[in-house]
Amino acid sequence: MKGWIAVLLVAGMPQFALAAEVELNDQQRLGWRLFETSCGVCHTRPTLIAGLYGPELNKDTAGGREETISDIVTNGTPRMPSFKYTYNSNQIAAIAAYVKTLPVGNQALTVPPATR
Amino acid sequence: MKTARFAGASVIAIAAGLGSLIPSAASADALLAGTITSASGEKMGGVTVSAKAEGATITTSVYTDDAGGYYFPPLPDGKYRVWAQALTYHTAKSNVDLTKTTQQDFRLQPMTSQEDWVRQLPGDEFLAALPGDTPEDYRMKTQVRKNCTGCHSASYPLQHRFDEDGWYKVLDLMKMVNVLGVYPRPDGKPTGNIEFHQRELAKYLARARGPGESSMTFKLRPRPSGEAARAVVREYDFPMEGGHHRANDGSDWSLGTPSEMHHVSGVHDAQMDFNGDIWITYGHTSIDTTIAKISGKTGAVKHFKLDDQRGVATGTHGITRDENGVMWFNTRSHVSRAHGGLGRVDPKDDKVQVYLPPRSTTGTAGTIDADLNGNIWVTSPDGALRFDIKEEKFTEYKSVTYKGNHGTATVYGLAADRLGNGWWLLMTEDLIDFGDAKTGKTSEFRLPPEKAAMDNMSADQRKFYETFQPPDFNAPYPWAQAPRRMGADKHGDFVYTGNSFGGTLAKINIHTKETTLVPLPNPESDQPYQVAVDSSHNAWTNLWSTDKVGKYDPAANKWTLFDLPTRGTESRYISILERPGQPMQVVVPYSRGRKVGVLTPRTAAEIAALKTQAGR
Repeated sequence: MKGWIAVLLVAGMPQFALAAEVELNDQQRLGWRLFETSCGVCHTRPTLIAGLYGPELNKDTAGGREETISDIVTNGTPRMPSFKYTYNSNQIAAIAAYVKTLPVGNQALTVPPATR
Repeated sequence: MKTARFAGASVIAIAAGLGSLIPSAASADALLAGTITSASGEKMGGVTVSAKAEGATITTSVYTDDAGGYYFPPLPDGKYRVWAQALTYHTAKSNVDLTKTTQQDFRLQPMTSQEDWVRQLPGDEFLAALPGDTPEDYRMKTQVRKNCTGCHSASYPLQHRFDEDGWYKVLDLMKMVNVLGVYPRPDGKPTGNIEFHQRELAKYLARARGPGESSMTFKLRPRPSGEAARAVVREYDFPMEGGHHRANDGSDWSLGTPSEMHHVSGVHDAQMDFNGDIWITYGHTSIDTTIAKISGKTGAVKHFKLDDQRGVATGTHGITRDENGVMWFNTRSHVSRAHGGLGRVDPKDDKVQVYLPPRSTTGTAGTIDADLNGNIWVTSPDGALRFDIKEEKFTEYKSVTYKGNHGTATVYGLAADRLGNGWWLLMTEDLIDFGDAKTGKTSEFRLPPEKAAMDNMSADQRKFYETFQPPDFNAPYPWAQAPRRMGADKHGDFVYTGNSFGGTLAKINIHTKETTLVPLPNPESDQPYQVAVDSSHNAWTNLWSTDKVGKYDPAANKWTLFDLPTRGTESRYISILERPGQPMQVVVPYSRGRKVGVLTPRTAAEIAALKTQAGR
């Protein structure tokens, strides 16, 4: 079954973002769910104004090389845990495939910070 | 005390057309029923069966009886997805074209891998399974059930497996996240008690959920039966904003507990109005929602936005319904930043007004209740305010304790008792404050600590906590009862506090202040939050770190636990609507799940009537 996701493309406007539908194949769709469960806590903003703990992930991450993304998810980094005890190689490849669908700027701030 | 008043709110988005996608319940008479059996043919009681029509935003769920039978209330005609779930079994799914009474049976296949069914579990099962038999393990289990579940259900992180190094890195992030789940903490400092326990906790978690043999022992609780299995739960989806979608909304347990990231979390409190529509408050930053109204019949959503200074919607938190059916809610930064207001909306005309407390007060905070004398009580950062609706006048009540050796004692829950007095909770310090409406004076007392946790502390821990200052109310002392929120018996002489970390309710006599701690059925893993008391004196509480609701009958000293059909609900509120001639509605907003559940108890006679009507 094929699915789709709307991702945010920031168009330089502070409060408005354009939604674009990207059709996902089965692997990317699995990756989307696992990304939401396990990656978003560091790589997406919990709220419109919150900071990011890890870098934004997008199609250019790791030079756009899915194998490198899979290797990072598998073995971790100095700040990121290894996911090899949680996910198998197919699941990790799905996460990498999903990351490749994300546009650059998907986590750009769309709301100015509080002025107080 | 002078009151500033502002009127008007922009209704910025109406789910136009949504209602036309959902058949009206008024024309419905089709019944959906069936039987659930195991692969070996055994009838299965307590199985959760859910149905959702194509294009609809309402999911209806029921539970099988001891004979494996389930009986939905009349549903609108439509094409439905129907699925049946029980822990350790694969989810069974079907499609039903419901135009007449239909029988849909399911046979559930068992899961063979523990790692598969572990992902299905609600938070309380994870907490119960953690090792705690040695003093060292008990200390760490206490940290998980108090420190970690201060912000999220245990089922969210523990569906993962990491080695010690991995868990240590997870805690590196957690200690820099504040009570709202926001990184980095505004003060830029790590949460002291996470950092203090970090190494030992990482080792403990790796033994429980790491690469080797697990130290956890799962003894799964029985499925619902009796009264709990007769309930029907309608769940209303709250729409995502900004074009976002989510891959897992918690309705299929096999997919695990979903994340609250990606702008999912936000629905905080909810009340049903006299028309059966549901009003929610939105707790996170939003483009379009301060509060919203969800149609009880169709699920269509109407958003109300009060402009924040940045152009986003003003934040809010608490909502209550007064005797006339008018809704009242706090506003976090409307009109004047850092000086919270009091919002009013009448469901008869949907008009919004905001009252601003005088500058001499600290403004409103997040929880709110109506008394029976025409007043609204709302917390403030350092106590409570009482608002006289007719006179449009605020009266201020200060907490006895505010700042002390352990920092600021954060105010959270509040209730107004039958006599019109106010009660509020200083959660970090286990303190209960009482505002006497006649004298204007405030008094205070402290709940007893959780003795087992206090007695088990190490010498190093004792020394650390002597000077520890909780940065917010979700970084507790090991002995904390943590009275979060509360409710009053408006027909009786008691108020109840939901002691989140102690796993108890405090039942307090409003005349004598005599306090009894009522343990939940499983105090180490059942964590109450808000309390709502019905007209029969039953105290209902949402177990926020798992997917359950508890009902305490004080006359029989008996608990009944009801399952919620969604995994990862993390409800932070519960409210009740009772109207003459209508069934009671128990409203439970899902903060993580971005839904609102409405639980309706059913009698055995009602089930029997449906059974006859379904020809079974």
